[in-house]
Amino acid sequence: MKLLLLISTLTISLFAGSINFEKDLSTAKQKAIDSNKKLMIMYSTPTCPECNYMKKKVLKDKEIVSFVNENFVSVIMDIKEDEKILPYKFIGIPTFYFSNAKTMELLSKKIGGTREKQFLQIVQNVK
Amino acid sequence: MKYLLILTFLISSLFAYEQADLDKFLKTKDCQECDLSGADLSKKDLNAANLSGSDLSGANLSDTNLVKANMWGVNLENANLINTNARASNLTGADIINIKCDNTTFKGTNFANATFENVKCTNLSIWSANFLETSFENTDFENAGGAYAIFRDVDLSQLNIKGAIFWNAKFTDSIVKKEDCKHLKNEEAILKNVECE
Repeated sequence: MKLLLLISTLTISLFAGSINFEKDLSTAKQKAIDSNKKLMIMYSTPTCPECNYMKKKVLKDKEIVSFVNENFVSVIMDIKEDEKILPYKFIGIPTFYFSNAKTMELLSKKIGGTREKQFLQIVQNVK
Repeated sequence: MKYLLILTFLISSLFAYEQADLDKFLKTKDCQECDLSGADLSKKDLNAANLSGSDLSGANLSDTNLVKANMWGVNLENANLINTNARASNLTGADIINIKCDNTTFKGTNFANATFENVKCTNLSIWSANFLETSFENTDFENAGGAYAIFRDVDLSQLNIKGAIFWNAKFTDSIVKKEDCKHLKNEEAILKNVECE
């Protein structure tokens, strides 16, 4: 029992550091449907400074990581590499889309970088 | 009455652009050292346009796409840049005086040797912008997004940076107010040879 507790604590702490991003949209969609979670899709490019601020700072926040992993299945899409399969139109990056995985109905979106506190409010307000 | 008419004409001519310059620019997106003062260029797609050395004072550039535009040495006094996207543009040596700049995007813009005076922007985007020997007088970047921005050889004592995001921004050989130094350290900005006064 002690060992089991230790293993689960270690497992939780290992995964608490970052959001579990799926490798592609179709995997994320399927996992979201299977786990009855919503989708969080981030549009980005590797060279976008605002996106990197979000990835390396805001999306590492413990409260955000915990809330997002618990309520969303997440995926990052590169607007250049994934150009042909982007599910939504965009006007700038980063853009975060929160959607129903089954219907792909857009529940809300956030354009641009923001501080941790605001981003947490945004994800908490996705209905 | 005569004097009034003359005065009105003189005042209006002070802010009038050259029609030939405007026509040329709209046709070619290239107009160097042109007089476009007071021109209405709002909601235009001016991506990668060349406006270097031009007079854009009082021009309306709101909702305009100026991505990668070359605006080296332009005069932007009293220009309207509300909702303008000037990402990766070149504003080296520009006069940025009394502009309207709410929701303006200057991501990755080069502001080397530019002059900011009487500028107050809401929701300004200066992520990874470059400020080399840029001068600031009565300028307000409160709550701006400026992670990865680079400031070098600048005096920030007349620049309000309260609440601005400066994560991983670099400040080198510069003068910063004491309270701002504290803010920058909290933001995890990189400070090298910075005087906190």
